[in-house]
Amino acid sequence: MNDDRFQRLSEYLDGELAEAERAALEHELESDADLAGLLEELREVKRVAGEVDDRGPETDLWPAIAARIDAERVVALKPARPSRRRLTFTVPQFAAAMIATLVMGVGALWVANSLGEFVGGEPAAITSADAEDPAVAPAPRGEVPVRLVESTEPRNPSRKSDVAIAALEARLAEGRGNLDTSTVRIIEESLATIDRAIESASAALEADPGNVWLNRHLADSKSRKVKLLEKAAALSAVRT
Amino acid sequence: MAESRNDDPRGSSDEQDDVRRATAGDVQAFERLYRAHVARIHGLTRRMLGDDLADEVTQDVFVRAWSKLDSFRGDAAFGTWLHRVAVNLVLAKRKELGRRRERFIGDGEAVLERESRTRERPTVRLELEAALQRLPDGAREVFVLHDVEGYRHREIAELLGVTTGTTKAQLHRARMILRRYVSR
Repeated sequence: MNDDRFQRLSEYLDGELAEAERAALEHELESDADLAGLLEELREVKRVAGEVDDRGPETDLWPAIAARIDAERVVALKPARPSRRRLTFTVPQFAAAMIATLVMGVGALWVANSLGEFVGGEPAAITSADAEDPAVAPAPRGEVPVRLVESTEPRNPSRKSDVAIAALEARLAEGRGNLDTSTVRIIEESLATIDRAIESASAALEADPGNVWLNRHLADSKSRKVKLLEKAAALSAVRT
Repeated sequence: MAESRNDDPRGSSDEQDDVRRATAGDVQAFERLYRAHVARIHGLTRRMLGDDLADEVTQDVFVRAWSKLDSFRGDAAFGTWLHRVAVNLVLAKRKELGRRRERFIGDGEAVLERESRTRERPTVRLELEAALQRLPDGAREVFVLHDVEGYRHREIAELLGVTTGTTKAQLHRARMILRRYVSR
């Protein structure tokens, strides 16, 4: 029997032969014991294949899968519709924009130097340590000196992060209604994880304020929170 | 489609509920789906790719499924959809591995014939699985998809981008090789 005729045995097993072919093959099988034996062997292969066990992996793969899913969820927070708007300028427009930027920058510097910004409505108390502090504005004779915003706290990166976080949280709160519930849940879960890291670092720093590693860890955690909030706020704004 | 190994063509109502929850972002619901289907998916990856890659590709399948849950419309059972995701990923992986496995093509029959005469056979099924690893690529793909997973020739031909004539020939070739392992 040639290869084509052998192959018909498999097709016969799978019920894929036309009626006439099937009848012809069955007639042949009755008179050819070797052919019938081969058919039984093929039938056994098919039977065993249909009974193989799905025993599953030897180790639990879920923790690794969960970690990869979690990573994907944070990445997925990027805006769904990134802005494709491109700004183009003519040479005169570009020159005008540069001049305007320069004027505004110089103006802002002049205003900052002239007026300063107050912390709250009342002047902060000045201590002896402030005597050499360049952030303390010189007071005209007979007046109480006042502390500028660019004093000790704002120069602290952690404090700057807190300010940024508060602003971003406010932006996110405004746009929260534009996000679907699953996105909000993912954001909240991620924020909760980061907040736990911030809390534990802060608590540890109370006992050891000078610990460089803890300070860096706290700063990194706050930086992560800022980045996450920026993504979330951008996402809520895009969907508005 | 390979629904012969699913009792309920649309899956149980609990499973449908888990699918809905997972699609909405519930990871715990997705974990339940993982637990329910991992054995079958791992079996497929193991038979198609071998033990070395089975764990890694099974992970890939579930991560891919998670990211594509939005595209599952519920027309078929989740298990059927997941299986198709797995088959596509496995075939892509095999394509990627490509040439490295070519050494088995051609001498597969000879190797199997020699081993089938000399090795002890504790169980027929385990031997079949071991023998699968040494089948030529095309024959193994078609055999696993048809005889183990229950796909039809038309579906396999579509998945592999070949004709049904080719898949029938490959299936027969695989059975002819494997019969030496199974028959005593």
